[in-house]
Amino acid sequence: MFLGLIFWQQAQAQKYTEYELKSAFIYNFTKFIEWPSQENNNHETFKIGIILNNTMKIVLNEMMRGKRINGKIIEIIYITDLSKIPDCQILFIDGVDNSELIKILKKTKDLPCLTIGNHLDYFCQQGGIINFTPKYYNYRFEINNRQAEWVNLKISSKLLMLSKIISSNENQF
Amino acid sequence: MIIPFNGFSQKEGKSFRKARHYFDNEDFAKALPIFLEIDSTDNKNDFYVKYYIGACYLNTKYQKTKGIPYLEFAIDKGEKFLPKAVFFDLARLYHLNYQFLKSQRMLLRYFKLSDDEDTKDFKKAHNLFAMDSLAMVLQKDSENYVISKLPYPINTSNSEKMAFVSADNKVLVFSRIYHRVVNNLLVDSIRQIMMAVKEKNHWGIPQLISVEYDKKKYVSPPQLIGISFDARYLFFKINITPGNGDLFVGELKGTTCTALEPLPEAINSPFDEGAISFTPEGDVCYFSSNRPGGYGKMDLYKSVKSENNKWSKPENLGPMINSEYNENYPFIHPNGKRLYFASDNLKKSIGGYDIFVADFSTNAHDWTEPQNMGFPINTPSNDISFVPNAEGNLAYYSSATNNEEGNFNLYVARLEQSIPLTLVKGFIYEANTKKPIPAQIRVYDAADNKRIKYIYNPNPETGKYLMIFPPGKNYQMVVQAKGYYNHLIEIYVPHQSYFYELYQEISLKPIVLKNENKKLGEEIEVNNIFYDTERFFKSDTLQLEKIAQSKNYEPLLNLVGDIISLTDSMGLEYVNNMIGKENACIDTSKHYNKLMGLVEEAINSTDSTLLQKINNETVYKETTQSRIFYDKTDTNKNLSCHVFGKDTIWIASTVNTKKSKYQISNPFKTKYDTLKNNTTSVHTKFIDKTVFFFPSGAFLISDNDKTKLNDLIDFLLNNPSLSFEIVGYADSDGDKQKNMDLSYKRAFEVSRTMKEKGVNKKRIRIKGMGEPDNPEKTQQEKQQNRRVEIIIKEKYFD
Repeated sequence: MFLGLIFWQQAQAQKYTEYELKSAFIYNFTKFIEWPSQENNNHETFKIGIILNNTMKIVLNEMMRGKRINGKIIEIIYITDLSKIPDCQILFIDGVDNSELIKILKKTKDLPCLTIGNHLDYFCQQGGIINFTPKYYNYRFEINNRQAEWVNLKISSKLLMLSKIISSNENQF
Repeated sequence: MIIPFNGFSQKEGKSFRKARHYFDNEDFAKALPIFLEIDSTDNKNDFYVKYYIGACYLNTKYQKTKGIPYLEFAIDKGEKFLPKAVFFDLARLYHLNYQFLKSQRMLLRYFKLSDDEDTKDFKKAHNLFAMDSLAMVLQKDSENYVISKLPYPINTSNSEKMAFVSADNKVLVFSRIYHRVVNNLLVDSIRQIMMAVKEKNHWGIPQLISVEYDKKKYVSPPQLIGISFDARYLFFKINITPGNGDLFVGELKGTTCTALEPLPEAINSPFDEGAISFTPEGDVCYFSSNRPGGYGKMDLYKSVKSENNKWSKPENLGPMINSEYNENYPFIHPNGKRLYFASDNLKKSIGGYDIFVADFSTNAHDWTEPQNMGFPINTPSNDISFVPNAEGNLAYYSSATNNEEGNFNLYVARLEQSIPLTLVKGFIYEANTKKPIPAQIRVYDAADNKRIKYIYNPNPETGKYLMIFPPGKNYQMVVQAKGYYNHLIEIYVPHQSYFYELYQEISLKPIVLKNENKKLGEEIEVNNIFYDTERFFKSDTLQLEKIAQSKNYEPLLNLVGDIISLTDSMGLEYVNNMIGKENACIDTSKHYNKLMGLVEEAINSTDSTLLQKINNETVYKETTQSRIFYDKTDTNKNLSCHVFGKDTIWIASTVNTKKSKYQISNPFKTKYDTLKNNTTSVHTKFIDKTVFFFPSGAFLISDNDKTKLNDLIDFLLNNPSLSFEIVGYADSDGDKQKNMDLSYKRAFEVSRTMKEKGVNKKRIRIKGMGEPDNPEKTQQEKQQNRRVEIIIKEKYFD
């Protein structure tokens, strides 16, 4: 009945937390970013690594339940030992010092890994691909598209248009 | 009604006759200027001229009350000659002008003059007297509603009424009666439906909405009587035949409303239905109808939608709400228990239609006695269509104040009284051990540097603190923690229309070079989370809400312990989710698919506005940090002096947590960039010096020293604002030039390792100092000279 369509659903009255929103973004990134086909064939599961943010692990686990990315089951790996970072398609990085970040990004530099920073200083400048921004910014994320292209990750122009584009500071490396 | 009288015809001049002629033909607009001229030029004691002027004003649209002084004069000087209707008219004008006591006095004089108590006018005068009494009572109790008239281009010289707002407060739909006036004569009244969209902080220019309806079938065009929460659907009343008005709904596409469908049979009847309002869930509706079986004229009814989508037979709201007068324009508050409506009940209104509010009591299973909303919302003229927004904190209504009865304007009222207090619950701890730090907190109002009371210092065992102060202001928090310098935190607590709490965490930690145990500085991090307790923890917040509402702070002292312990039982779980603590957990009842879908839609249509909207609704943990480094040689450089009223405090750093959406979007701009061109003085702090020693002739860092160097490099990488110099030295053995080269090589090797590890080469400064001026005397001294020094500094500005 038409009257049912009109009214505001109860769900909209709830507020979401930033981790829920960021998880929703991460899931949607996979819809607007293409991993190189080789990568797709090599792996059976779609691996998302999370560094040092327990809440993100919990939230992402809940939100990805029952979902698939590119037809594959999602495997969420929680990483606490920075010396042992497994190969992942997505790496969500939080809670690290800049010196640790540099080491991580050096490791992923030539891998088709979508590195996502949780509002880390100089993340994109130092070679990270997507960096979330604080609430009050006009745009929700920064993207280093050069690094993405370097590892054959194709980011849809729709996503690029909604972000701020940052280029690597080549002097760093 | 003014009855012209024929006294003093002898004094008629030519212009007076002309004016009288217009007046007798009820052409008041033409008569008035002539009378005014006569009044200004002739002998001012002619009270009858003043009488006519007053009479003309009374018959104008907007200037009725201008006639007051003239009629007062006329009555004062020529009471005996004037018809008794004049007293009634002046009483009416006083009433319109909010002069209720004067109105009553004038009515008493009118009553004295009246013989026949049965005339219509006498009854009206009686009612007016009662309205004046009620008005005076209400004036005393007037609530602190803040009202404002909506600006142009919403309100114009035409009549605007019946405003409805969408749930997101961005769309306003209303009716405008466009008066076509030719030669001062009202030629036509065209009803228009207008829609205005909010742009940033103001309403944009209203657009005309065209409604497609069967013009052959329906005599008059549809009247707007409501909108859906998302403004996608509009509700109308259409007069099918005179006396049978039915309610319809249509879909709004752009600026056209099409596909009008009548509302369900249960609601429409062969009689007149006036307006309708739905609860947010859409399962209960309230509407007005004058169908038989009510209490008289228009009454309010309610219908409930059952599970199989059928609407129940309408139930009259009963004698508490309905009367023998008109009850119309119902609007149910989003909480489902409070009903606003308009009534012209002569015994309860202060003039014309007034807006009333009634609450539904679950205990009594009935409505409470409707309260007249009083001043300033209700006026001596017609006040109707009170429509709160989805939040329930603002309401739009229509009032004909100071206007002719049919000429309305739109107003907005702020409903909830602003909360006088905000609650900040906090926790202060050491970042590495997560243990509480003993500390003192002082808060000052940034505007007047007055110290705020009701700051409950952190409990040294738990690290928890509590602050209570009025919202909507900038504050300066001084944190004095044991083992650390004083820090100043600037916070802005936003206005709240209902109860929010701010949860805050302050963490402090020393900045050390690994393995060195040297404390080179300290860092303070402030995390603020504003969360809206009303939505999540309904029952627990009632107590806190009462506290926040009360203006009596003293009893709060007793409750501090309770309040702090409440933190643990409520909100902590939610807050843990925000902060990323170990025992965070998920509310599995949330509907994530909706959020995922919204985000996908926003990206797919590159709709940054939608993204922004979603973002605004999201609760973030807002983090701000400040790092200070200690100057080894001069501790004075570590602190700056701040004066707060009587208190002088030495502060090591200022953390500004105030976030503005319009802040510069480049967070990587360092202080140095912005201050390049300023003439502020630059100071340098000497932070640390690390030394590496070499065997004779060597310039490579030994394996033993590699860890130390790596730790130092990590430190530099983690603190990009620090600058440093690498200075190499050599002992005096050997060739002077070779020693110069050697000293440089030593520095260069260090810099090479740094670059390899990712240090920005722009930061690196290398120097070779060669051999000392005076040769050493002992082997030990030589050993000391075979070194490289890394000197770390920080530039800072005054």
